[in-house]
Amino acid sequence: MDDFEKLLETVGEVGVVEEIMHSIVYVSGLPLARPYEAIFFENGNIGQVLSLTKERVEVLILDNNNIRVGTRAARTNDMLQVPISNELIGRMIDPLGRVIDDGPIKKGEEHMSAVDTQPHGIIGRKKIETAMETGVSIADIIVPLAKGQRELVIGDRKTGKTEFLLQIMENQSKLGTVCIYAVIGQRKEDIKRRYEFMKEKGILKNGLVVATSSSDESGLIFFTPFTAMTIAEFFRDQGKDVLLILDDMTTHARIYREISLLARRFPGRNAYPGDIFYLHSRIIERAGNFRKGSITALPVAETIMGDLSGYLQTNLMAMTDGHIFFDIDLYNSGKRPAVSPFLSVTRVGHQAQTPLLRDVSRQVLSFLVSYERMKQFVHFGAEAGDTIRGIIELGKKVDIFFDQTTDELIPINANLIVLAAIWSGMWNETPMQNVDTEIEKIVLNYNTDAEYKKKIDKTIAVSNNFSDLINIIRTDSSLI
Amino acid sequence: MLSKLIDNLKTKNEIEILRDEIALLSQSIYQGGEKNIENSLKNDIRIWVSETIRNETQNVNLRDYFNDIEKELDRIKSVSITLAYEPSELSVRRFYDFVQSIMPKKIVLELLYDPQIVGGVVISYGGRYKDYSFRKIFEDELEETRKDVLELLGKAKK
Repeated sequence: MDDFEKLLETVGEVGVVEEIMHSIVYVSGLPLARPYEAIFFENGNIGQVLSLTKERVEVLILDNNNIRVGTRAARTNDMLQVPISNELIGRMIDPLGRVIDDGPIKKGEEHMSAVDTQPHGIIGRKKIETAMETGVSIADIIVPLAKGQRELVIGDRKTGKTEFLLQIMENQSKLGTVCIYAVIGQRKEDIKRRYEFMKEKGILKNGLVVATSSSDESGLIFFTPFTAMTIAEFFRDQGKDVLLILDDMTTHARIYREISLLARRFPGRNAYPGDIFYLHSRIIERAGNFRKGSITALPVAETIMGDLSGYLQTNLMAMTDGHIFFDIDLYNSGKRPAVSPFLSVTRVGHQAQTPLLRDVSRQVLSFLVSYERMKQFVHFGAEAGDTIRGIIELGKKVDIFFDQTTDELIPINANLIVLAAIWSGMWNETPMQNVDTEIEKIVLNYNTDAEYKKKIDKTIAVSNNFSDLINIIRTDSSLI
Repeated sequence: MLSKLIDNLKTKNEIEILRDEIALLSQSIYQGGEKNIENSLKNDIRIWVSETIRNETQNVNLRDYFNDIEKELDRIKSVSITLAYEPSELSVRRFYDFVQSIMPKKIVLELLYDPQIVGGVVISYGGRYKDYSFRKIFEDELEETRKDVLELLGKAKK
């Protein structure tokens, strides 16, 4: 007896496909079907109940095997579930938990988990208090992240969002965080390239990919973030910190719009269905800091021509704890990463920082504002005085400091010591083209010389604020 | 009140045949009016059907009559019965009489043939599914004794 016959026998209900509309099928029968229940078809397809009418059940199908009118369907008496185990680490899977990389299929102690569950209540959640180091200087200093935070990564296409996210994953996987990368409906070629990159950089030793390509069935793409979140919850329940990247939610919204329009739901703003906010918040609310483990969610959203006021973009901003904005103008002017320090927001990141870091962050951001003003002032051809020239010179050095390639990861303490050196005026006489080399030297020393690292860490530990650190650097020449 | 046409239906197959006949008659009204339909009733339709139609449409508009029949046909539910053999005319009548006697509304049988069920019957109606086939009985039996059978086979091999 196959699985389908077993289900028919145990549940005692049968349905017949009456109408097919792309990824939605209408099934008659199944009198006791419930919303969100998983439906199994006799040809092996799986679906989920979208809505119920008096006569028919509307089912979203997840596979592109051929379903025909007349195909029989059975209820499962359960929500859609996927098999999850520790063996998923290092693998690339689809939203139904099937391995899609080239490796052998290993089965660990599997446990079935529902993909669409209610977010955790308040009891069991904890205040966000541990910083999450990204390895990207501008993020760590200006828009710091914390474990359990939900931070939107937003920007036009091809502005370096994914590279930035891969950098964070590389840094965090080294620190023991489980990194889950959910690729939602992207090109197969890109998925493969990113998977290879993650493998090469060792991210997959502590991470996994949940991927769907644009050629997959809409229903399957729709469940990508749900499955990724369910896997994140599995590792969180083991007390681990999890970093979950949802790349990207605008594609997910487009897919949901397609499904809703096919299901003849009433279209709202931009033809998106009315429950698009509920859908996304239901996913993102499942992340957070918990008594046992944490899930840091970084959903990605795409903008068009840098427009932050779009419907989906503002929705996602409303349900996250801030956003990192990738500015196309900064990208075109050669800044890497093209993070806009003025339009990016972190609502809970600062509360997890040390007092020293918070002070540095405040001072650097306030300096960047005056630097930007001075640049505009000089741009008008005004004659620059000593103060203005000083700000611009310092600003250029800060620009060099924040300029970071995608294969560079800089620890926070190395960032602090470099910034203190720039602020102390140690490199005032150094030609601008050599500042980069000086910074690299410090970072390299910090990463390779254990003695030097210890010394720097100690210096930073005893500094209460940025001025203290600058003073120490000025007096102790062995630090730089 | 149900038309005799509907009353006489026993299987889903018969519904389809009647539906085709009604469609043909509707088409002949459209093409040539009363004269044409008389030809169709004489030549293209089963005798009992044409006689019933003649009796039931003496003072009735034909178009409305056919529309009502079609609507009625759409409303009829079917009970699906899967058998391991192809039943005779008599068996179908017996099945139908029994099932109709316990159903409050008019139903028809959807007869399916599947020799893999070995014997017995699989019934489904309104989404409910019941398997009273021999296949299931054998499988349940085998499930219980699988371990013993495998052990015996293992010993026999040695």
